[in-house]
Amino acid sequence: MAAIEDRLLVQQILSGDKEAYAVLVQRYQRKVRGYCQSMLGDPVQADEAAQDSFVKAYQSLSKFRGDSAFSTWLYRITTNHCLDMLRRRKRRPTVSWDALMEQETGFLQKLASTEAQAASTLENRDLADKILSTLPADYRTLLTLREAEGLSYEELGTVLHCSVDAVKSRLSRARKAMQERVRHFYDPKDVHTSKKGKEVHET
Amino acid sequence: MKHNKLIEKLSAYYDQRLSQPERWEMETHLQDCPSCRKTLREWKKISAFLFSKSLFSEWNEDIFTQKVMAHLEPAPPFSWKALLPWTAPVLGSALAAVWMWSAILPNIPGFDSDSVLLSDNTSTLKSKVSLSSEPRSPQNPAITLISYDEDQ
Repeated sequence: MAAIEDRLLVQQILSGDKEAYAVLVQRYQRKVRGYCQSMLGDPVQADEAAQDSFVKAYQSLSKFRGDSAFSTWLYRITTNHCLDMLRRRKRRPTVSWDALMEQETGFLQKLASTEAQAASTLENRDLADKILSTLPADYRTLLTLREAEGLSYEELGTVLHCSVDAVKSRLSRARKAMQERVRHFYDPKDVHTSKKGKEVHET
Repeated sequence: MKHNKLIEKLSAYYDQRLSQPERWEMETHLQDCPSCRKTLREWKKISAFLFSKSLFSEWNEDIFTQKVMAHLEPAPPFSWKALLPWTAPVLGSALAAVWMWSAILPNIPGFDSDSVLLSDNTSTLKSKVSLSSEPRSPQNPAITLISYDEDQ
């Protein structure tokens, strides 16, 4: 057997083998840290959030009932922690979508170009984080868990305490919101100006 | 009308969560709907950019693990639940042993459980020796071993 199952490791830890937790940390740190970065944007805060989430998971390990996979349970703890951090951050000023468009027009146009994917630079990460930060927190959570972490609808329902049908409809709304954020830069000919001076998208 | 109805299912189609008949219906619609096709292309492209793993900054996995482990309490959280998976087999084995003792061993010819339970160590060892089919002799290693124990 290549790797000890998560549940067996949890039993070992609860029976007194603290070092077994290092195996779980090694196994899931990349996913948890990446998820925190998508949720929070800032890499330093993402590191702290990932560490805190692992410590919280350890402290709550006796509450893990094994109804879901350990990774799903860990995502739930990480989600709650990141949402708490975002709530606290709300008190500080954040970049609005309009301000972001003004500041980052060049980069956003690059996103629409074909070379955007190839250019995996820190600038692109920064821009991606800024775009994500303009989405509502629940949309960001859903999209990150689905698109980056590949969770199934059922797992998303477990993490977010909602039904599969709710996941389906919320995900649809989140994708539309994400598309609206960057649509301007994909195909400007789809956007024209209404009589009131507001941009309107053709459907 | 059909477009408005189907666009609600576009996200589920993107995630391959539609049933077979729904998928056929959607794919037929997509052939004639450039707007829905474009939406799917955009979702794919935006998602590839926003959630690209290669964009995440590198960090040292070992240092991260050490930091987490350093923040853990000295003793792991105790849980009775954790003992449950181990207590069930242990209790089961103990009950099986008791059953064997009471049901099977008394039926073995030449075995007297009373002599084992109620006697002192020496007689216990003698009764164990009496179970052996080998004649008692200095060459019998089992008997030699028991004699060694008695000497101790």
